[in-house]
Amino acid sequence: MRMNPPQLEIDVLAAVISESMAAQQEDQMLAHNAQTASPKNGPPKLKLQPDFQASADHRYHIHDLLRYHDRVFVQVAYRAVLKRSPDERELLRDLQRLRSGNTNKIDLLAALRFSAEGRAKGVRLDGLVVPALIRRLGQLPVLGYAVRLGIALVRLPNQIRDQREFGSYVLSQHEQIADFINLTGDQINSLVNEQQTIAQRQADLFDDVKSRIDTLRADAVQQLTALRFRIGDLSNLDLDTLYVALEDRFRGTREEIKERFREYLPYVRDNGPVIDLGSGRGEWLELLTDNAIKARGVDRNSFQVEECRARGLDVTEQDLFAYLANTANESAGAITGFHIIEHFSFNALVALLNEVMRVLRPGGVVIFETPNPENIVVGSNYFYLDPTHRHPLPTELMEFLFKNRGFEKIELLPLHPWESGRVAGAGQLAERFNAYFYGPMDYAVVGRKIGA
Amino acid sequence: MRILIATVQVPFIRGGAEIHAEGLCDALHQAGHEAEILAIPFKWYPPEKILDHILACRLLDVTEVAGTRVDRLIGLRFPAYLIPHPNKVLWILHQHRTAYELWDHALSDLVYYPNGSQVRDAIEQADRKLIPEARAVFANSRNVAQRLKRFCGIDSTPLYHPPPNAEKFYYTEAEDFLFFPSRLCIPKRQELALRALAMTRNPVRLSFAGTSDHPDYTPKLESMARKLKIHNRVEWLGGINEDEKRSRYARALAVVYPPVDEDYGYVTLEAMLASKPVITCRDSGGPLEFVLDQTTGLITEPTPEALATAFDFVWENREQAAAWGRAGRVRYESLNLSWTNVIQKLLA
Amino acid sequence: MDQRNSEAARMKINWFCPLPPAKTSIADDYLVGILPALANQTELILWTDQSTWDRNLENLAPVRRYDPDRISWPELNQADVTFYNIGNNHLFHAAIWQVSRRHPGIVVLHDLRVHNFFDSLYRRQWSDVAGYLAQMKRYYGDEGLRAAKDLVNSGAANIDFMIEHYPLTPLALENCLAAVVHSDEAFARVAAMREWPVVHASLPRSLPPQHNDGASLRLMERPYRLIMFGYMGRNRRVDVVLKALSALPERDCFRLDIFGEIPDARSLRRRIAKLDLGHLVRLHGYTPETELNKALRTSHLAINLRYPTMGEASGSQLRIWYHALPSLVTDVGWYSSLSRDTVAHVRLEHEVADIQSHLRAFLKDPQPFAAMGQRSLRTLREQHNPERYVRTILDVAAAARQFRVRKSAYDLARRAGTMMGSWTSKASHEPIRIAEKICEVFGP
Repeated sequence: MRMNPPQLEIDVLAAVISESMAAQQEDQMLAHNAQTASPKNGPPKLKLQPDFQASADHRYHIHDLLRYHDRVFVQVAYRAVLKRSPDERELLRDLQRLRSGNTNKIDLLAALRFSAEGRAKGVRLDGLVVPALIRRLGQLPVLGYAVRLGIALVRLPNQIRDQREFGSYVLSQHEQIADFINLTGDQINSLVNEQQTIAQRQADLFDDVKSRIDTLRADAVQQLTALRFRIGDLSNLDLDTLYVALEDRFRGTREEIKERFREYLPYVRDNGPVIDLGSGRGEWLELLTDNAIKARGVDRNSFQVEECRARGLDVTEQDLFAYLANTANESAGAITGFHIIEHFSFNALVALLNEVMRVLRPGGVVIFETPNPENIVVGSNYFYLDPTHRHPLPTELMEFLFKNRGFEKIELLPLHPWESGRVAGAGQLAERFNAYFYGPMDYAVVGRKIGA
Repeated sequence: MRILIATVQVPFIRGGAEIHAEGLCDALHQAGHEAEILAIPFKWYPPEKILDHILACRLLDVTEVAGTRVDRLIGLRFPAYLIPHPNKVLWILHQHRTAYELWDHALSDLVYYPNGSQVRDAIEQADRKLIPEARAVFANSRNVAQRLKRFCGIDSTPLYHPPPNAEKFYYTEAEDFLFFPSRLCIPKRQELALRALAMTRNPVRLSFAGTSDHPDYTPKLESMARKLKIHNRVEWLGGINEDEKRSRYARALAVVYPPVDEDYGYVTLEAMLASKPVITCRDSGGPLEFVLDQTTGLITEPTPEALATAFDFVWENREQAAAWGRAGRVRYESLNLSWTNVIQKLLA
Repeated sequence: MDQRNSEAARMKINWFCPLPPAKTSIADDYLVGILPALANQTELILWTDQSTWDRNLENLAPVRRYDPDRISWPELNQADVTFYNIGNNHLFHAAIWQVSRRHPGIVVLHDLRVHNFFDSLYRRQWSDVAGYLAQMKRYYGDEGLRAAKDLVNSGAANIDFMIEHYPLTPLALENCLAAVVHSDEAFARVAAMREWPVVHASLPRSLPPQHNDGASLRLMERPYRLIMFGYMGRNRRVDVVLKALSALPERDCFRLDIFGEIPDARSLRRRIAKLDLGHLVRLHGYTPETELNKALRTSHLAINLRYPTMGEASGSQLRIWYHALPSLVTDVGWYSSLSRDTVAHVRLEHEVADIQSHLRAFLKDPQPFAAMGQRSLRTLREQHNPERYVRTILDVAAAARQFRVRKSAYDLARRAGTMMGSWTSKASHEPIRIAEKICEVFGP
């Protein structure tokens, strides 16, 4: 028994699996495409020649076939005579021959019919033999011409009729084409209209969207403003005027203050130029200028800066840290700050001291004045009259800091005792009481940079 | 050891096989092992689905879980026992019976499908080729081992195990009824018992305990009892809890259990534990490995007449029946059924 | 079930086949030839959808009638294996093919090219053109679909082309366990499909032990009797033979008898008259067996040309050999594989010339042709005897279990592929990995 061995082979099975996978994917894709494909309503196809219907008894007259032309004729010829469609190669070859004029339709029909395949298929083509024969004769070397001439003369009436027929055929074809073009034109017009409608709709949509955005933006701005009010983000301008009013109310008059500053003159007389940080109303600057000591100030309060400038003082409106950062090393003889250090956080204070150290000339002096927390009334009450004060700075703390930052010849100067408030009495109680409650209300801490 | 018990589940249906797997799992836990039941959902119709399940089982990898090895795989049922594992031991409850001894049986489903014989041969091929992969093959009973040898040419060792809660069974004086506890379905042959009951000369009473898989089967049995005019001698207990069941065993005159070609059969052992005689049939399979005819019970032809004779006998000879029952208990003890033994063999 | 494991037991076999008096040589010659040996060695059941059958068959084997829509699967499953005889004629094989698609069995493929079968079945019997197109697409892609549409639109004008290029053989074998074929060509083609196991067995024809081949009765004297018989369709090349004969100068030395049904007999007579062969050619129409055999016994040369062929092994050719007749055959298909010393070949491109040259040679010396006849009888006895054929059938039946396992592997592979195809796009290793797993279970 001859048998093809039935062993299972892995690669054959793997091929079966792959094929099934591919088939399944193709099915799914087809199903998917069928769902998503949109129905096409394009222009109909133009058919200039009728469809070919095969004859049931495999019998044709050549006239049935001759009424087709060109490519369609070749296809019809194969389907009638050989009962199959021509493949690509055959179609191109025969079409080319026809078009070049080397062969005509009769030749092609004859060639197909009398080929081995054609004979085997045995289709009956009536009316083929004679024209085929005549054609052959017409191709003979010398006699051929005479034959062709004779045939042509004989056929002349037919030719004329054919010509007319052909003329009207051509005309009708042109009409068909014209109709088709008109139809297509109409389709194009409607497409263009659709296009315009779409464009218009788009423009409307755009406008709509734009107006919505504007409305949204206005809303947003309103909300934002309200929000800022809530979190207390007022413009600085408002605060500045408030501060001025505050100082005027609680600090004392300009003259009083200027008087008090005299105490510091000896420290800075030979230590110009002086930078006064947080120069405020400018009393100290004025005093220095009066005493021909070069001095300049820096403050953030634009009103006070205006005022100082109006008095001819050299004041910059800037954040004092920024100002210091822009100042060159060892360029100042003295740096002063009156009632500024109680405004800073501890970190800022340390940073300030570092900067001061940098900017001071060797041997330069730094003076900071601040409320004295040893005075209980100051430490618990008056210190907080300025809401921007952070917390009282004990003298020991400042002394320590100065030392820690490298300043030497540190002095602590008790200032401005509250004479008028003292209680009368001689005993320890009165003494202590007066010391705690009516002693110096401010103090200054003075330090020098090492050097000349 | 880390042990996986590979078995099969038919969702929403619970039977002896589930109890068996759980019993094994508990016993393994008590012996100090880590054990878990791995149940594959199984659908056997249309028949080609079985082949899909075989492939699915072969594609599973349970050699290790999260980096830790699984030391042993114990396979209980088809096709879960085909899952590959280097240390596999099979304790086969039964193969896919409709491809083997139930092939031409009225109960078979495979033979009714046009591609039935093709799938049958495929199942046999899988069993023959892949069962020997295991390092040891045990069978639930001698019956199962014989089938395995007969159809697949594979040797296996019968390995018995005790029914669940064996220590809780007890006996008391026999009352006037025979007890037939079993799932209500055709292979258990409640219908045969009913027909036999109709032919007894004594007013024998029979109590059935158990529910049916198909909702219309119980009514069918009940109407059969009515048609045979024995419905006033039959009690349908339905699903009863374990205590109730043990009480019935304890009080029964005898236990009736004539299934067709049973793999193992807890009922036989439970009856023996309750010291009651067992009435079974020549073609019942598993029970025959335990029941000794006219020593611990009666083995009859699977006909209504023969069963009726047996019913009448125990009804009329109460002393004899009780003696047989006690002998059954003694026989049970002699079999030395214990989970310790089982585990020792499976993990050797 | 145990019987399957025991070799000694007789195999139980279902045999689906057209039964006499169905007008096909598969019933008359083939089945009748092998039935005694087959029924003797197996437990055979004949299955048929015909409404009548020769009751004598039941002396050899029981006959079961079936309806393809309502057939008893358990009964089929109880046998060891089922055989399906399938040929190109939808009248005799449609029901058989339908059952074969559902219950896998072994197909005895009598014709390789079965396009006619499916064309007639889908389009005419079932009026299901879509079904026909779908099958053409499935097996031959878009190209096949286009050709099929051509066929539908042209009223099957291109049918010869379709038969040759789109034989639809795999559709006939769909779902089978294995194929039995009778020609080398069929064997090669089915083997090339690499899906089904295929077995070659020579078409059987029974020879009674004391067979009188009539050679002795044949007096080698003129006029020599040429004989053609069977249904004289287009593919029998009658016109070619007439043409060759009429153009032969020595034509009066021959007589030609044509037995068998002739479509359009009138036009054939006209052609005969036109060729002036009226006194040499006689048309007998349909003839009962005994008379045909008598004619064969007294003939000298048979003409059994075929083009196109369905790739079948010809029962009529065996019948010619049975009578130890030399014969002219076309050099295509199965006929090509016949040895030159048992037949005389006629080339398709030179039919007339070859026929004439053979006839001339016969005239010159008829002896070699007579010897050819004797040799062909010997070939019939040795290679085409029914016992040998039945042995092959039994060997194939014994391997049925193996074939089933193999088929399960293929089915599973296809289902796995389809399942994976719905969620993987390109997978290089998956098919091989799954194939390995499948072979692990179903391989040797």
